[in-house]
Amino acid sequence: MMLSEMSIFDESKLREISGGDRSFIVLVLDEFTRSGHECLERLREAAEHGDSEGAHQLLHTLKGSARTVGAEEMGELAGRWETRVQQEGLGSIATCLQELEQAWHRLMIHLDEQREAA
Amino acid sequence: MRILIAEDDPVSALVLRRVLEDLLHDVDHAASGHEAWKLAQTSPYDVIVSDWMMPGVDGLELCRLTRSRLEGAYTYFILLSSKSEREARIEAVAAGVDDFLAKPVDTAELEARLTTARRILNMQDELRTRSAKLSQTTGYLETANRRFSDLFMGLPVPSITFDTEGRIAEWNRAAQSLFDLDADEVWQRQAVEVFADPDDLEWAESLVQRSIGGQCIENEERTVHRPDGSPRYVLYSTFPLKNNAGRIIGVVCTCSDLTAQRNLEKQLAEQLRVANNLNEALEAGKEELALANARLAELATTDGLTGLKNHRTFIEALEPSLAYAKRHREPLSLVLCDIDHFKHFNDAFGHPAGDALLREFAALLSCHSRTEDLVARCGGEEFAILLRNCGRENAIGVAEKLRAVIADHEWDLRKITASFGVQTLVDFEVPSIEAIVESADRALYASKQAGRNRVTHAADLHSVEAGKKAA
Repeated sequence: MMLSEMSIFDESKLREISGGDRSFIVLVLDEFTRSGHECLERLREAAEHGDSEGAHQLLHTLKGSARTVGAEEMGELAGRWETRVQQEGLGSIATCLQELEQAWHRLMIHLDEQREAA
Repeated sequence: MRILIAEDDPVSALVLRRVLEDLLHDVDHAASGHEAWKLAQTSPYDVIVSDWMMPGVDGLELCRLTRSRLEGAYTYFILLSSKSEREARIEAVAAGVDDFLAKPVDTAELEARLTTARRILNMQDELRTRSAKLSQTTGYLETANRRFSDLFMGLPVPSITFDTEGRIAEWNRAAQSLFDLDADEVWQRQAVEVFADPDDLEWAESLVQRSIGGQCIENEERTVHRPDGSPRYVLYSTFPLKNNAGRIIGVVCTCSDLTAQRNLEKQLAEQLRVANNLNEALEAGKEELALANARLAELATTDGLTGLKNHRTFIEALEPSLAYAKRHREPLSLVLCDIDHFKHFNDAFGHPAGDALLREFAALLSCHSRTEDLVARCGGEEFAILLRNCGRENAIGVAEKLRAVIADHEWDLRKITASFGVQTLVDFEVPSIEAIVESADRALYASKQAGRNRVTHAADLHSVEAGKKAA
């Protein structure tokens, strides 16, 4: 599936897991926001330090948490870069960071809109 | 179940925890593999659900560490991963992973996997319980085996087992001592070679075959020579060993050592033989001794020259004869006689002729006396005759007869006569021996005084003396 075809966020997964428990969904999304942000910060640091192993690990974590909450575009992007960093190292890490930060920005806007709508 | 989540992604951990708690499990979370291992060591978990990729100790390493714990209950290990490569999964299974779950976790699939985990853990528990029981039973068996082995080895009766091929399997200390062969020397050797001497193999072969055939052999005795050549007397008994199915798998053989007993019997028999020989010798000696004693007694009571009783024997015979006569109120007479002019005879013809005269004189006295009369030589040419149950007249008659026999006898060298003195007990008042002898002697002296070759009774002597006193 093309990235452009993926939804930014699919809330059905969290609803299914929590049985529609809104407070739990909020708790998970807050944690995702915090840890995802931290993950991107640390990825930037790893890139600066040329730590491809650390970068790979962080991309793996970001991929897992994004998929878990239903942030499909973010999860797919992190997964692709995870594979690429593992295969090629940090050669394209600047592009990676740029794409991920853009995707993260879109996701945060989407989640804010959703919160406001709720 | 107690479940540990090992997950460095807090979001995944949060969601997973929620799912598991909804399924009523007791859940802990460790944010790294290292932390998870520390928790698992302090309190073991039924299930560990671990992410694969974690910094430091990753999921595989955590699984290996978990499996390295030898003790305690089994932990079911589920690895969370998006990895689907064949090699990666093989590596995970090799590390001890029980199951895989793809991320993000599907709730229904997780529940199904946990049901499997529960089943496997129950089976593991059951296995562990059975294993513990088996281990306990094995322990009992080992203890029983050891005790039986100790008992067998320590039995005071020499005991051996051999298999159905006749090869020795067990050999206790008493058997080592009896045959003077160590267990190492006989193990797997044919029992027949040990049980009997080379010339008795037929019997040993028969014993082994009968025993393997199921017979119980009782007390068959054999002599076996030990390596040093010393004999051992052995009493063999056997009974077959059977397995649970009743099939004969070997034989137990006991070998009682009769050597000490047999040696004692031999010793006893030898001692008996020696004792019998000694006894025979003793019996023979006793007979000789009795003869010698009889001979000695004869010599002691007999006068060497004439063969008559001697003076001492005569005096000793007097007392019981006097007592007998008094008790039975029987008359008893004593005759003393003396060869007339014997000194002259000796002087004229010499002592050998005198001795010959004495022997011939004694023979005449003996020959013409009654069997019950005691004839003795009192010394020199003086003789005495004790006449039992014989009164005065009879005594005078006996003396007179003897006097006539002597006087009428045809002597070689010259005529011989003898003088006689007689005393008779009449009132049964027993005088002393000395008194009766003295009165007979006075009567003899009277005969000598009256011209010899005559008989004088002591009673007549009294009346003559009384007549002389009265006159």
